[in-house]
Amino acid sequence: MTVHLLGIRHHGPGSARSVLAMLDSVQPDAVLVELPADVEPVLRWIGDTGLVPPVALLGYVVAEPARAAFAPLASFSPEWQAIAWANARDVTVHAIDLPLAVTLARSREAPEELVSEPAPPDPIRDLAAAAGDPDPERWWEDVIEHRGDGAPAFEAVAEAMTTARHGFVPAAAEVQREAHMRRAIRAARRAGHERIVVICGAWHVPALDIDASGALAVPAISVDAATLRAMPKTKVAVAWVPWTHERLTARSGYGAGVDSPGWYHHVFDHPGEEGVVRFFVDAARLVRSRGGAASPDELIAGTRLATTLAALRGRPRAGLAEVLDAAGAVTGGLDVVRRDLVIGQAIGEVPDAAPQVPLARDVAKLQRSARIPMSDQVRTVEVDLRTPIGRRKSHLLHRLVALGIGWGVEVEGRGSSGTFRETWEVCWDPDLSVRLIERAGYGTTLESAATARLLERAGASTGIAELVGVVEQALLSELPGAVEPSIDRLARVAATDPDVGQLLDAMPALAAALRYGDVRGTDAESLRRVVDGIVVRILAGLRAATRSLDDDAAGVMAERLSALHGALAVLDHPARRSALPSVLVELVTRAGHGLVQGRATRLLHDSGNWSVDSVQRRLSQALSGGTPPARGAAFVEGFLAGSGSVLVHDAELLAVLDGWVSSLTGDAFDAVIVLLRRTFGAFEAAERRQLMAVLMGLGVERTIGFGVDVDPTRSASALATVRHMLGLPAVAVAASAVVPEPVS
Amino acid sequence: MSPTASPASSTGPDPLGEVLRPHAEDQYAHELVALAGLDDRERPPGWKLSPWAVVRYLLGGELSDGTVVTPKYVGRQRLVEIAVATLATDRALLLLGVPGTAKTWVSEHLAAAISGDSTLLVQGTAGTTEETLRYGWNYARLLAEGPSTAALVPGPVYRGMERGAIVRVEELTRMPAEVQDALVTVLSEKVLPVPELDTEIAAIRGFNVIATANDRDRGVNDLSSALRRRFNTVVLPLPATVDEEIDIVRRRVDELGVALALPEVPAAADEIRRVVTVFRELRSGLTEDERTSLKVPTGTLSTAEAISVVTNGIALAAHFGDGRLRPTDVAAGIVGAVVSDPVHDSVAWREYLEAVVRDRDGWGDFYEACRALDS
Repeated sequence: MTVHLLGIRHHGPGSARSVLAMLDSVQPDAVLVELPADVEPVLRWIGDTGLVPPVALLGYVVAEPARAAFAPLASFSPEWQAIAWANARDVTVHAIDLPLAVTLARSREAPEELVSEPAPPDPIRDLAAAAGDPDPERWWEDVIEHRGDGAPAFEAVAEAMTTARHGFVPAAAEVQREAHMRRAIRAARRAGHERIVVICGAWHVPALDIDASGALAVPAISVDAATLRAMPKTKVAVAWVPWTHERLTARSGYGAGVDSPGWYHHVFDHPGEEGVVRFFVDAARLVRSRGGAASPDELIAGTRLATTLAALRGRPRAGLAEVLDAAGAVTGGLDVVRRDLVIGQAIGEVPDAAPQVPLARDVAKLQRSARIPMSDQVRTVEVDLRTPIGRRKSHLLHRLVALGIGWGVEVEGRGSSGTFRETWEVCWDPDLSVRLIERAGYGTTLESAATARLLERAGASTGIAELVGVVEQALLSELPGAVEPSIDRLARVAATDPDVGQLLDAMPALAAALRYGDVRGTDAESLRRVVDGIVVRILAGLRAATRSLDDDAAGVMAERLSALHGALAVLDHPARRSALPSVLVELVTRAGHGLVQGRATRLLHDSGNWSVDSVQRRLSQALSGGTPPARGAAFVEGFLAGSGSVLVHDAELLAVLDGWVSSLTGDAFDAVIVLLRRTFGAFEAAERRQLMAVLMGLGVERTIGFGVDVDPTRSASALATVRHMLGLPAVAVAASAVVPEPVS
Repeated sequence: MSPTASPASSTGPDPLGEVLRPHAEDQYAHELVALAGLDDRERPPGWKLSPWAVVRYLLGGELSDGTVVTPKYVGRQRLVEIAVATLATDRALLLLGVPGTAKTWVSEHLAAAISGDSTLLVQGTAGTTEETLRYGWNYARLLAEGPSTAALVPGPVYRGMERGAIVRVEELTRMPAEVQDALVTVLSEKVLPVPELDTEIAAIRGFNVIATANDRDRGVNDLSSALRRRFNTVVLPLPATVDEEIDIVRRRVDELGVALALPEVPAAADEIRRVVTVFRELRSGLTEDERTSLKVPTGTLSTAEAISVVTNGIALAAHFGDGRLRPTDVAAGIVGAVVSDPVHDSVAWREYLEAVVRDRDGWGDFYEACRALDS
């Protein structure tokens, strides 16, 4: 009935090799590992071909999935290798650390790390200092990890730890953990196992030696039982999640983390001298794939330099420092090597049948049925919303965005765009699966989780723009459960929000959202009501909002007016018929900033509410002697609004403008030239050429405004094409053709 | 044991101390002897010391028999280790860096420690020819007797290969590209063919090449990639911290003072700190407290120049002053080092003077001295 205690360093490749060698020689019938007792049922998955490390064990409180703890495992972790060995030979595996049900009942914080290295004082540092090496990591590596021959040093480790631990009093949590582990070892012994192997962190070895006596004796059974009595528990579920090497690094805050998991993976797979050569070969391939040059001669030189450096520094084998120094000297600078090889880009995989977080399982299922490729390169996905598969893709990607997981980013589509098309760029980042876990608290299916998150955001936001964003997202993701409440909230906030500017800013987004509703067939009746209410408020508050604005504010307001006009046009809102024009007329006639007045005039002209005559009258009013020239220029700027075509086609307007410019005195001209230049400079080059031609009188004889007659010959061919496009039978050109409306 | 005299040099050991600047292996002979005596690690073939001992020699420290080895290179230990390990793998070493970062100094000491001889030197200039590198001819003999080994005048590389010693090539990038490429065969096959005599010289173990290059000057011929590939590159940086740089300057100034037989000048520490601070601030374009940004002058303002400014100042103080190093003594040297391009640098210097120096505590007399130089 022997108990072998193998003290290891978590995630150490040398420890892993030593453990395997020891297991092969001892051939135990029970393997005990330092993992929480309630993960035992899922350990049978280790060794399954579908479970590819790096992965992590995630334990979460069933009632509150956000409270969780995880234990990462890489292929070079000793625990992983030991359990895989045991599973392959049908040897009993027990997890003997304190169960998560107890640990999680205690903690109320965010996901915390389960496994941590020796608590202070740091025995490895003391041992390294005694050996004369100032760097404890390097010392441990040299003595334990880099042993390619795998000859176990466990006896020595146990002895060393016993000495280091002498006189140390552990904290209460540690006492509980060690008591639990001792109890489990005793239980295994009582169960009749002949050869028991215990794999635990080196620090714990002295505390688990139940056969020790005298000064090194551990607490007795009764003492342990008392320690473990009456510990509060909570219901916990365990799942496997894919993990990354990046997350395994110490830099990301993980207590037992290692600096260079990629390197350790490499050392585990290729121990001994071969490892150094292979590393250089891998580095060269990486550099070449990125477009650099790496010749075999450099590899040879690098290997030799690395081994010589190791000899110079008195290390038994070249470690990461030597390899990186050599690589730097031979090729000159390798950030990409550091990131890709030293840390590594590996992502783990979890098979479907293995226990998973419900949300992750649901998302994986949806990803498969939507058939969107999962890769870490950016791919473009075109989605056609008219097809069921397209809608599925769109909903999946939008719902993930609603949940805050940016797998896909919507981009402007090239080529054909339309309300039924979306273009996405998808790129899978291993961090996303971790974020999925973090959001698992919101729900067990993607739909419910996304709805819950949107409702949370709606409840928390106070600005109209934010709320409109939430409503938009809810409509795009097809989440009726989130749409209604957010619209309600939007209505309430809009009612109390006095700032017309914010309401104006929200209008285009609302118009777009309503439009989605029409296209995608969702019922947005309530949204329509809210939009109506907002429009009423806007129109009511517009007069006050345009009073006494300075130049910048006036510019912003002019753009907002255009946007409002456009939004209402998209919706074909009844307000366009009378309510909006009357407000615009008021803006024009009342005193206000020239920009706003000009823009209002332009909108009235474009929508046909004002005849050309009225526009001309207003323009000449603005440009007459009674108005300061600066105001006149601002009016012109607001009126022309980046498009000079109205001047090209309307000679009267052009004449008014021309007359005004010619009438300016020298000083007045200097005052307005900058503004006018800004306005005219924004025109298209073709427009300016046409304008020039008209002003020079070189144009062909022009009618004033638009002709009221139809030119039969010119329009015949155009009409025939249109008929053909619409599928109508071709007819001869009739004289009673419809008078073309003025094109606005 | 008498210090090893460089066999190729016409000056043997210098008991009267008349040589201005002795070779490294002569000046530090006692250290090399002590290291050789205590060194029981394995030596690569042809090396006088083991790599560990060479590193110790360069970085300094105290040996077990009490001998104090002065540090030759103050900086990162890893760079020295990489350089020595490179030479042990018989791959050539290229030291890169801006002027004034001790490349030549390190190469000299490496050669002295490894082969006991730092005189196999090729100075690269735009006029260097292949003959300088490899071998030349005694034309009288050549014409009289025809080609023979006796008519051959060996160059440094020839001699280094024959003897198995370290050859130093300075300013590799100043040499014309055709001449640089003459080194390619030597470095890859370690063989120097002599086609005129239909023979070749094969290198003896212990032969290696240390080259230095700086990438800052005009007229620099970049190394071809075939040649570049045969070197391991070590980049020597400028000193990272103020204290490091002050340490270097102080140490070298003391050594130079002894060599030049300058009278002792006490308490130069403040002035040294001032010179180093001025140089560092102008070099980086930022004051030490990082509040003011400065124009950067065109000169390099390296540590070597700082050393020469201080030495100059000490000479002035000792011979023309009262024996104490004062701000006036270093002011002229600093201005001379900073202002190399009269148009751009004088503007930068004046701005620095007005914006930073004038308002600093305790720098009042320095400011006055600099202003006095202007007028």
